[in-house]
Amino acid sequence: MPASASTSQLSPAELSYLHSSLSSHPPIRPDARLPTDFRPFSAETNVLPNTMGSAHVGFADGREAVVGVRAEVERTAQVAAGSDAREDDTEMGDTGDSKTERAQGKSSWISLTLTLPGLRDDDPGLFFLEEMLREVLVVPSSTTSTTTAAAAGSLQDGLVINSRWHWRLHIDVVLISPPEGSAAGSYPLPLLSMAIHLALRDTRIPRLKSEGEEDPLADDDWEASVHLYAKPGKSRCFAAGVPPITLLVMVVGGNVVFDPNGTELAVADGVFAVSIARAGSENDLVSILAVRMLETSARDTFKGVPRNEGGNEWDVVPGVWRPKLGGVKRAVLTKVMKAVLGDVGKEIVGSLEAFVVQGG
Amino acid sequence: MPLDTTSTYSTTLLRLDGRRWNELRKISASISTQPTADGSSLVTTGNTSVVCTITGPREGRGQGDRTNAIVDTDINIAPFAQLDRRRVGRTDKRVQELQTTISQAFQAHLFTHLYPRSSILISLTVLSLDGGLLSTCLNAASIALIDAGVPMPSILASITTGTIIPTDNSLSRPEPVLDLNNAEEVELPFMNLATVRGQTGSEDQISVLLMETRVQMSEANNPLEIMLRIGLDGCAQVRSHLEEVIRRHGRRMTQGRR
Repeated sequence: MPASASTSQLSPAELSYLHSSLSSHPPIRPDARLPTDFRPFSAETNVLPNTMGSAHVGFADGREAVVGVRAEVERTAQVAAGSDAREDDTEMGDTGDSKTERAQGKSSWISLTLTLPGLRDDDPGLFFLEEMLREVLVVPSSTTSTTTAAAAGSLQDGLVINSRWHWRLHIDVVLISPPEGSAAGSYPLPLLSMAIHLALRDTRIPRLKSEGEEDPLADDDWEASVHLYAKPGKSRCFAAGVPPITLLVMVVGGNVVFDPNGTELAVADGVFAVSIARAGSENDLVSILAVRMLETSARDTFKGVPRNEGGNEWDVVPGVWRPKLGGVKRAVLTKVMKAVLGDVGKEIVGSLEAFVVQGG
Repeated sequence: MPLDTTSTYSTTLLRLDGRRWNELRKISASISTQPTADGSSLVTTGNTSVVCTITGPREGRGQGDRTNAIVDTDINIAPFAQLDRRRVGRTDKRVQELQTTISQAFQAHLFTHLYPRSSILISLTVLSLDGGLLSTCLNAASIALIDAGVPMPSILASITTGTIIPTDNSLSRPEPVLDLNNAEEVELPFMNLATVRGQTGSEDQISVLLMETRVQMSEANNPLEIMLRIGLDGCAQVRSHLEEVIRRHGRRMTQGRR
C-alpha cells in the first residue's frame, strides 16, 4: 500500500526539486520544519459520553480523529470439556500457590476498527492500517524487555478476569477529514496512533465486585473504576507502562525526516512506521516494538524526460526525476533506529506524558 | 425507578428524563468547526452529537444535470455512538434511506440553480446517538450549508415528535411529546418533521416528514394531527435557536475583521 492516500499531483520537475532540497544537508523541508519537528496538533480526552475512554486529536491540516474505547465482558472459549477440565483444575491450583504466574490473554480480545472517509469498508489498505495499529498493542509480555512487565503484564494478559471470563476491548477510530484532493493527502498514521494512545490512557474499566471464579459483576460506581494503563499516583491498573506510539519516518537521500506531510511523502526513498513504547517506569528509556516498511508513493510517479534526448533511456541524468524503486540500505536503517531511540523518541514519550498528567 | 413512559406519564406528567411534554433537550451548535472544509458544523442535542462537513459547491465530475447542483449525502455512524457497540456499514439499508431523505430535502430547499453542473457533498459523522438521528443530521447539515455559503431561503429545522397513547383507556386523549430520546423512540410512535419558513405572512412549510412506527388512529383525537401541530412549534423553536447560533458567529466574524 502506498504511504500516501492520493497519488501525487506534482510534476517530475517539482518532484526532483523537492527531492534535492530534502536530501541536502541539512534537509530543507517545504514547511520549514527541522527534520525532527512534528506538525502541531491539538488534543482533548474524555469527549464522548457513551465510551469508557475517548480522545479527539486534530491536526492543523484540518483532519481530526475521534477514538472511542469500549470494554465488554465476554466468556472465554474453553478448549475442551472432560479430560482437559481436570488439567484446568490443577493449573488453577498452581496459580493459587504462586501468584507470579499470570493467566495468558489472547491477542484477539483486542479489536480495532477504522473508519476513513472515501474508503470502502473492505479496502485492503484499511485492514493493513488497522492491523498495523493493533499488533503493537498486543505484544506478549515475554518479548517486552522490561522489568515491570512481570508486575502487571501486557495488555491482553490484564484483560483476564478468571478462567471463564475476560474483558473484550473495542477500539474504534473515526477519521473526519475533507476528502482527498483538497489538502495534500498525507498518510494518517501519526494522527491515528496519537489519538489511540491518548484514548487508551483515558480508558477506565469498571471495578468488579465479584471475586475469583465468580461470574463477573461490575461496580456501578464509575469513580471506583480502574484505569486501563497505569496513571501516576494510582496503584491499580490493567497493563504496565504506556500504550505504544507509532511514528512515521521517511528516508530521503540518507536523511531521516520525521512526520512527513503528503508532499514530502511523494519523494520518499523509503517510509517506515516505527512503533515505540516507554521501556520500564523511567521516562528516558524508549524501546522499539515494531518496524514496518511502507511502500513509497514515489514509485508511482512518472519519470522526467531530459532535454537532450539522445542518451540511453537508463542513464541517470542529475536533476531529472526518476521514480524511486524502494529499498533502503542497512546503514540508513540503523540511522533511523538511532534517531528514534535517541532524543526524538524520548521527547515524544515525555511530552505525551506531560499532556496526560496535566489533563488528568 | 420506572423504565417506561407509558405507565407513569399519566400520573406524573413528567418523562423519564424529567422533562415536560414540550421541553426540548439542550441544543448546542457551532459552525466553522473545521477550518479546511468548505463548511462545517457540530450540533449536540442532549446526548446526540453530529459533525457535518460540506464539500462544495464544486465541479461535479460526470454530473449530468446542466441546470442544477446535485446534493449528495454520506452518513457515517461511529461504532461507539450507541449504547451497545455496533458497526453500521455503509451499505446499511436504513442509513441509505436517511442519506436519500437528506439529499432530497436539501435538493429541493437550496438554490441549486445558481450552481449548474456542480456537486455539493454533505458528510455527516454521528459521534454519539441518543434518539433524533435524522433531525440532528438535518439541523447540522442546514447550518453547515450556511457556513459553506450556499444560498437558501431559510434554515431547515427539524425535530422529532411522539405520542403517548394510554393503553388502558382507549377513549382518553393521546399525549404528545417533543424531542424524543432513544428510550422513548423505542417505546413510543414518533415522527421526524422538518420545516422551512414560508413566505412572509404565511405559515411554515413541511419539507421532510418521516414516520417509521405504527400509531393507533382514533376518530375523536387524531394522534397524527396532534404530533404535527406540536412538531411545527418545535421546529420553529429549533430554528430560532439555530438562527441565533449563526448570528452569534457572524458577530464574532465581523468583530474579528475590524
